[in-house]
Amino acid sequence: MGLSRSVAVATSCLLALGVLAACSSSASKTASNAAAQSTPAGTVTSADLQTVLSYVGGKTGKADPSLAPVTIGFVNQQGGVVGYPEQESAADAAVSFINAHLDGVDGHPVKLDKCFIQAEEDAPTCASQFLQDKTLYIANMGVDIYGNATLYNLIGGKFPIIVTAAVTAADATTKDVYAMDGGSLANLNGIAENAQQRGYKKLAVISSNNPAAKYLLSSIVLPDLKKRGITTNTVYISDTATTPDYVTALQASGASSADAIELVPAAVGGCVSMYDAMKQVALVKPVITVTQCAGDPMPTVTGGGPEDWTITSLADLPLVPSPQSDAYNDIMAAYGESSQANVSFAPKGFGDMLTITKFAKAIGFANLSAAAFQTQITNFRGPAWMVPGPILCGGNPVQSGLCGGTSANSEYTNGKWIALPPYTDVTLARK
Amino acid sequence: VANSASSKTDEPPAPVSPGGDRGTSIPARVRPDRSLLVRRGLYVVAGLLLVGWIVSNKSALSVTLLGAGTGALIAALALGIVVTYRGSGVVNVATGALAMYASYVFNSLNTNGDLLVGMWQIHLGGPLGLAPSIVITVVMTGLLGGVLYVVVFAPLQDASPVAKLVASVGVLLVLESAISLTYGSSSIQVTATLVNGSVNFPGNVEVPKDEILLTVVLIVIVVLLWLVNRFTRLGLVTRAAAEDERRLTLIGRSPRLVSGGNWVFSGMLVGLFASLTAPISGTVDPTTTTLLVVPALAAALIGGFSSLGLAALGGFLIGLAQGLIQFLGTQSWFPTAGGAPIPGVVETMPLVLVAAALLFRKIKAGGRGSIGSVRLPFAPESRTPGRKVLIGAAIAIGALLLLNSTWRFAGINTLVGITICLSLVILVGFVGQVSLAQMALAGFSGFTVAELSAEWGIGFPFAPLLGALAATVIGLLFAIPALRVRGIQLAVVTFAAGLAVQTLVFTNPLWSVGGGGANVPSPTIFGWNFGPTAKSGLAGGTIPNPVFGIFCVLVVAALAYFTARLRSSPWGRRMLAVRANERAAAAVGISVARTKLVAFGLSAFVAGLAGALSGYRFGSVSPDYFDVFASLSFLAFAYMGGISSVSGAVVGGFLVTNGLVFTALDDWFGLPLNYAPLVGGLGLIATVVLNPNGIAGSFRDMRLNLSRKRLDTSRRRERAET
Repeated sequence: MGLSRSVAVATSCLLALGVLAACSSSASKTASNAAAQSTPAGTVTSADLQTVLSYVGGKTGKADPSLAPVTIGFVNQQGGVVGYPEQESAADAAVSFINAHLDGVDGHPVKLDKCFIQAEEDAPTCASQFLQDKTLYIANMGVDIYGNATLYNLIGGKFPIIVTAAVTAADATTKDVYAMDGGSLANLNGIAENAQQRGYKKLAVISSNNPAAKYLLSSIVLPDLKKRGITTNTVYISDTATTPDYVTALQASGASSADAIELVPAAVGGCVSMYDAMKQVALVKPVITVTQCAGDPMPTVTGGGPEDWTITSLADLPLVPSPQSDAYNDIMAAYGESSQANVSFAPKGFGDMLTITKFAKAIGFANLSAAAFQTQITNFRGPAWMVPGPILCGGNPVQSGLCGGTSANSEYTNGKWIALPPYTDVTLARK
Repeated sequence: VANSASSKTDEPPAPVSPGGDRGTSIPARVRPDRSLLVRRGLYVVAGLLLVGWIVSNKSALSVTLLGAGTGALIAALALGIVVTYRGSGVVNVATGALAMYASYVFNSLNTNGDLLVGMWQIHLGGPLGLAPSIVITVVMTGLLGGVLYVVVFAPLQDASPVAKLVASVGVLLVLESAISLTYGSSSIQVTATLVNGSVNFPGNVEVPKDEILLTVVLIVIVVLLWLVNRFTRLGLVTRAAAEDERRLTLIGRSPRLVSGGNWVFSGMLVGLFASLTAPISGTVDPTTTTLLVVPALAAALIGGFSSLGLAALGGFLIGLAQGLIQFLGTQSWFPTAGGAPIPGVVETMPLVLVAAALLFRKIKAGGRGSIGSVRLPFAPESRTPGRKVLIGAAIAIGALLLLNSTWRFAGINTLVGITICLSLVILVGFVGQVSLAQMALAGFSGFTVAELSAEWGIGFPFAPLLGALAATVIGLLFAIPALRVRGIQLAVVTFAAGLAVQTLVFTNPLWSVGGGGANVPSPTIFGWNFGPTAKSGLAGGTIPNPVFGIFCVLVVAALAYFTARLRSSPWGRRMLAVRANERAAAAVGISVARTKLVAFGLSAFVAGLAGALSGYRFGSVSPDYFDVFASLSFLAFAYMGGISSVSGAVVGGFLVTNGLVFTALDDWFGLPLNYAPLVGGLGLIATVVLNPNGIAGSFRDMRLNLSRKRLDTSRRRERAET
C-alpha cells in the first residue's frame, strides 16, 4: 500500500470518529459550577437578599467550599441545533447566589451534576450518570423534548425530579416527576378564562402543530372554550413557520372577523412572525397568548412590548416589577447572564433551583434522602418562586405531575408591563 | 455475474444508457401509451375542478395565493437541485442548508455590516443597504457552490449516487452546525423590508406585494434559464453533460468546468432567493429553510431532475397547496384524530405529488450519464461467517458483563445501530436500492410493538416479530416504486414516503400518546423480565441490565450470520447481479422485480427488529427518533462503515450516536459538545471522498496489501536464495 493511501485511510478513520457527533448527541458529564465563580458583574441589593431568604429559609452567609456538597442533578436540552442554554445560566446563577449569600445548605455548598441531552440516546446516559451518583437525591429537568419518558423510566422513581417546563406528556404524567406550576394546562385555560372575561364570542386560534400543543388544545382547551359559548376557528402551523405562514394562518382562521386571536406558538420566533404578519396585513385585533411572546427579542422587536397582547404564563414575567422579579433580574445580572434573564423559562428554572434548596434546607444536610425530598414536595403548598397560586403535588386530576393550577397574566399597555389578576382553575388543582 | 457484480466494474457501457446508467434503462415504447393518456386526462379534469372550487371560494383563494412566497422559495431550491444534478449528477440535499446559510450572510450584511465567511465575520464598517447585501450574498453563495464542487463533489465524479448523496449530507451538517455555532440555534430577526403593502385582487383578495415580487422574480428566472438552456452554448454543453459527459469531451469541452459552473450558478440562484425571502420571513434560523429541501426534492422529481420549468412549477404549487391545506383543516368535514385535523397531511403532499408524477408522466428510470464508470462498493464474501460471528458475540457478551453502566449503554446503542446498518447493507449494499426510509420502517415496527402491548396485551416475543412483519409489509409497499424508478429518484420517493409515515402515523394520537410517542413495556418471557431496567444480579444490579444487552447480542449475531449467508447464497448473487446491471441480470434469467421485492422485504424485516429493540432499549418510542433525518444519518453511518459488507455494518454501528466510538471520544478526549456536529460533518465528507469502500473496506484493503507485501518479500527471498 502506498503512503498516500495509508495516510488517507488513517485520516478518514480519525475523522470518522467525529461522525457520531454528526448525527447528533452527547450527554456531557460536568462537575460543579459552584466552586469556580467569577466576580459578580451586577449588584444584588439587600432587599433582593431578603426576598430570596424569606422564600428559601435558613440563614445568610457564605457556604464552606471545603465541606461535602449537596448535589442536585440538572438535565437540560442544549448543545445541539435546538437547545435551551438559558436554563443552565439561570440554574448556575441561583446556585452561585445560594453558595455566596445563603449559606448553601447548613454551610455545605450546593453543586450541580449536569447532563445535557441532544437526542433520545442521551437520556439513558443521563439516567446512568445520576444513578451512579450516590449523593444525588433530587434532580431538576430544565427544558427538554427528547427522551423524557426514557429518562424517567430508567430512573424509575429512585429520586424525585422537578421539571421546569412540562413540555411533554411524560413530564406531566410520570410518577415522582413534578412541575411546581400548572403547566400548559393552566396556561391554556388561562387563555380561555381571559377570553370569556373580556366577552369575546369568536376566537381565531393559531397554534403550533407540535403534538403536545395540539393535544392540549384539541382535547381540553377547545372543548372548554365551546362550553363557555366561545366559537373558534383553529389553524395548526409548523413550529418553524415564518411570517408568510402566519399571514396565511390569519387568513385561514378568519382572524379579520374574529373578536380576538389566540396564539399558541412553540417559541418566541412564532410571536415575532405573528406580530410581523399582523402588521403586514394591517390587522388590529387583541391577541391572547403565552409566556414566549413576552421573551426576548419581542420587547426589542415591538419597542417595549406588543400593545393589546395579553400574556398568560406559568410564572410572573421578569418584565413586570415585583420584589421577586427584581431580585431575579439583579441576581441574573450579577451571577448569570442578564441577556438570558428574559428567555423562555429561565425565571422558572431559577425558581426551581431555589425551591429545591428550600427543601434541602428544611431537611438538613445530615438527613438528606430521596424520601425526605419526596415528603417536602408532597407537603409543599406554595406559592412557588414567581409562580402565583397554591401548590398541591398529585392534586391535578388530569395531569398528576402538575402541582399548580394558576396562570399569571400580564399585558403591555401605555409603555409598560403590568400584572393582571392571576387565574386559578379550581377544577384542575382541587384545592 | 456475481463476480462481475461484486468487483469494481469497468465493463463497457450499455448502448441505450451509457456510463452512470450502467445499462439500466428500459427501451422506450414506440406506440403511445393509452392508459397514460387516460390518466393524464383524469388528472387534468381533477385539477380543473380543484382550481374551479378554489376560485369560487374567496377564503380558499386568499390562503392559496398567500402561499406564493413559500412556493417561490421551494421552487428556487428545486431549480438549484435540478441545476446541480444536471451539471454534476449530485442530488444535493444540502440545497436548503445552502439557502439557510445565504439568508444569514444577507442578514449579517444588512443588519450589522458583517461579511460572513465560513464561521468568521469580517466587519465592513456599517450596515449595507438591501441591494448591495443581496448582490454580495449572491456572489458569496456562488463562490461557496464552487468551493463545494471543487473540494467535495469533483473528487466524487465517478462515485456512486449514494456516495454523492452521503457527501451532501455531510455538507448539510457542516453548514447547519457552522451557523448554529456562530449565531446560536434561536431565530434571529431580519430588519430588512423588501416592499410594503399588498395588492387587492378582484373579489377583495389581498396578497402582500413582496410575495408577488418574489413570484415575478421566479417567473423571470425560469424564463431566463429556459432561454439560456435552449439557445446558448452554455445551455448546450450543460444539456450534453446531462445526457452523457463523454459526448461533451468529444466536442472538446471539460465536464468538470461545466459541472463547476453549474454549482456556482446553483449557489447564486439559491442565494438570490434566500436573500429575497429572508425579509419576508422576518426571521432566520438554522432549521426552517434547511428542511424545505424535502418538498424541493419532490418538486425536482416532478421535473424528472431535468425539467427546470416543471420543477419550478411543482415547487410553487407545493407552496400554494400548503396554505390551502391549512384552510381545509379548519373545515368541519376535514378528517380529525384526537379532536384535531389529522396530522401529516401537509407533509404527505410531496409523496402524493411524486406518486402522481410517476403515474402522470414517464420519468426517466436511470440516472444521468457520467464520464467514467461508476465505482460500486466492494461486496466481499465471507468464507467463515459462523466463526467470525461466534467470536464477535463472545467478545460482545464478555464486554457487556465487564463494562460499567455508561459503556454498557453505549454497547447496546451500538448493537441497535448495527442492526439498522445491516438492513441497509441488504438493500443498498447488495441490491443498490437507495432507501431513505429505513428509520420509518424501524419506527413502524416500534410503534406496532407499543400498540400491541398496550391495546392487545401481546408481549415478547410475538410483539417484536409482528412488529417486524408489519414493517415488512410497509417495506414491500415502498418497493412498488422501486420497480419503476431507481437510484436517486427512488431515494427521493422513499424520503417522501418516510416523511409521510413519520407524520401520519408516529405523531397520530391514535398511535402515540398525545402524538408524542408511546410506551413500550419491558420484554418478559415466562414471567422473567429481562428489560434494561430489570434487576438481574449481574454488573452489581446497575442499569442497563446486562441480560438485555446479551439478548441484543444474540439478535445481532443471528442477523449478521444471516446477512453473510445471504451474500453467498444464490439470492445474494442475484441481488449483486441486479445491482450491477439490471438488464444483464434479466438476460440471464433473473427476475429483477422479484429480487428487489425480496431485498426490500428482508431489509424491512431487519429494520423492524431494530425498531423493536430500540423500543425495548428506551422503554418508549418517539416520533423524533425515527424521523427522515435519522434515516439519512444511519445511511451515512452505514456508508462510512462499508455499505456492502457485514463488517461495514458492524463498523457503522460503532459510529452511531452514543455508540462505543462516540462514548470513547466523549470520555477520553472530551470532544467539545457544540463542535461535535461540525467535526462529524467534516469527517463524513472526508470518509466519502477518501474511502469509497468505507472504513471496513479500508481495513480489508490494508490487510490484503500487507499479505501481498509479505508474499512479494518471500518470493524475492526465494529468488535471492535461488
